[in-house]
Amino acid sequence: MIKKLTTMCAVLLALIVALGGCGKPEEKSSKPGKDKRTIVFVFKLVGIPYSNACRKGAEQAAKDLGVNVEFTGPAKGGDVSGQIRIIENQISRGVDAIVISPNDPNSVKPVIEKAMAKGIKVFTWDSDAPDTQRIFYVAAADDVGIGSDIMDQLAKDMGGKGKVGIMSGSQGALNLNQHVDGVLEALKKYPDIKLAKPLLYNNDQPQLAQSGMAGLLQAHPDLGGIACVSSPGPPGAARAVIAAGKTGKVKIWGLSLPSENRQYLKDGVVNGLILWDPGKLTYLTAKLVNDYLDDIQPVDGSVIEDIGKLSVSDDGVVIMPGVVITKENVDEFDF
Amino acid sequence: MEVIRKYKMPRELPILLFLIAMCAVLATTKSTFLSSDNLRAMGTDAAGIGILAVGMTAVIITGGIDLSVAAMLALSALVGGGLISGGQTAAGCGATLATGVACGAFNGGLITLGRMPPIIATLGALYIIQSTATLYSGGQVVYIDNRLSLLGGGFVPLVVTLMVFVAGHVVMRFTRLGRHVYAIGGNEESARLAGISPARIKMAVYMGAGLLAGLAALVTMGINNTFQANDVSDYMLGAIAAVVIGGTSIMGGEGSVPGTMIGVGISTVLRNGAILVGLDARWTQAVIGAAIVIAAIADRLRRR
Repeated sequence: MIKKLTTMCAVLLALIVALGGCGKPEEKSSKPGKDKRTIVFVFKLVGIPYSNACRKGAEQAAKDLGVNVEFTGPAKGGDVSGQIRIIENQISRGVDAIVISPNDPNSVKPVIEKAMAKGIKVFTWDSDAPDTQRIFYVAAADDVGIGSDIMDQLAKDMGGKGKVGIMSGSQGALNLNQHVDGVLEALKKYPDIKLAKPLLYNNDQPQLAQSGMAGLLQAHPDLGGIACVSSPGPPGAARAVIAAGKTGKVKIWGLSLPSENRQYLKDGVVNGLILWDPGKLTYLTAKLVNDYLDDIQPVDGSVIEDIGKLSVSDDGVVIMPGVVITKENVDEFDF
Repeated sequence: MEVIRKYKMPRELPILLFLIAMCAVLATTKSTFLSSDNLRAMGTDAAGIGILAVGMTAVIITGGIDLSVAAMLALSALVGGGLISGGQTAAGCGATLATGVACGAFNGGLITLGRMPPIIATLGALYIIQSTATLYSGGQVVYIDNRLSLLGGGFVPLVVTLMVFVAGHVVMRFTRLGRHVYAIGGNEESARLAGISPARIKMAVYMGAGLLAGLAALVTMGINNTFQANDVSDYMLGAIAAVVIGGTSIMGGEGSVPGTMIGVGISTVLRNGAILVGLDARWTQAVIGAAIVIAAIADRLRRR
């Protein structure tokens, strides 16, 4: 009996030590110092190049602004509840500001309310949650505008006629849906360009991007172009187009990273990309949030060094200008 | 009546008929469905999940489950892909397969030596392996510069997948290992009494699943020419769905590799067919879900 008890105590002790050990590094950061401000970015997911680029911007901002800037997010794509749990944890830590790129705009509403009620300032960047109490949203170009820019470029390369497909990422992401709205909106300007159905969703999986595009090429042998509004789209579509031997016949424009498309751009499979530097976007957001905490509001038309002219609208949307990337300038971008 | 009762319908028959019916409808309404371009595209689409599903079939027949298959694929691809992108193609391929086997051994160790329920052991392994993969790669993309294009081009992914299915079927149906897998899945205690070592069989099965995850990693890299940690996060559920649709009992002891092949076929044809007929992509998952439920009901009716 005593032996059993001793063993149990030993096990318990070991557990406590182990848990305590695990908890320690957390604890250090879980009580942010009173003098140093803490801003936490919660992205849609971590571990992809896009989120790494954002993280770099956050790290740079931490150095330049002299505040704690942290970067986190769920490890799995489209993980709505995982992201909410992470935000909950940041609320109980009592950080100064939380900046979210929500996986789903509606499900973060309660947790944003909770944070604001506790005096934590909440912002969004990269993807918005417009019907919530978030203070402002920093967007890379505006979400609808990106979509129409993609369609305009594509229409130019297609000579204003033919059949065009659309490929999105996951079905619930607001920014992607707005990109798609932008594509559809711009499409109205080109009466000779017809939409090829169905809309493709790659769920952020390269395999689905490729097989979806392959299917669309079968369903519409006369397809003239595809507008891709999330980053696995252009390289996935490019692989399908190469496999079908239709390089050059099917134009590809989209939103993606230069590093994922460099060769496809040079080979003329992907015609061009529209995007922004996610690091700069995150850096800018950290700066604007830090300013806000110092009672400085973002100003419409103000010019930020290295980034360009901001536009700020009444509904709290701050827009950073985007860039067009083709085979001519792709080597200027290292992300 | 007695005669009818004695005739046991093969468990794969209803789903095979379903697959054939689907293909027949698509082939008659869409001329491009049977075109070689489309068949190649479907073969490429099915490869990764198909190869994983063969290992998953054996795991589920032991009465276990492996939630870590997609994570094993990701880690194997990133470890091996790093070497391949550096020009060491052969060493990289070896490292890819070895990483898969090592991950499988880790699962097998937790389950046999650690006596953990497979769902818990492989859930833990899923998180550990996935986060190792993310940390190892630093979230960066691995580029392999067409060094595996031999594995990913044309009909090769489909052929490799079919070969894995044949090999899997032979092992499960015609070898002692295969019979023992069914035996411990059917009743572990009586298998043990019959002189079979469940621990050794399980270890072999989980390591086999790891090896196949490594092979799937090579094929996936061959197809995509790049790899990053989150590329295959859908594959685990896809593989389990294919096995379950294929009539393998989640309780263990029953099921077959050909059934799984039909299961993979159904989800692949569904995805492709939805696009060919212009069905809103949001419906595809619901249809796959319905196929799982129908397979479960069919299994229940068959057992009566």
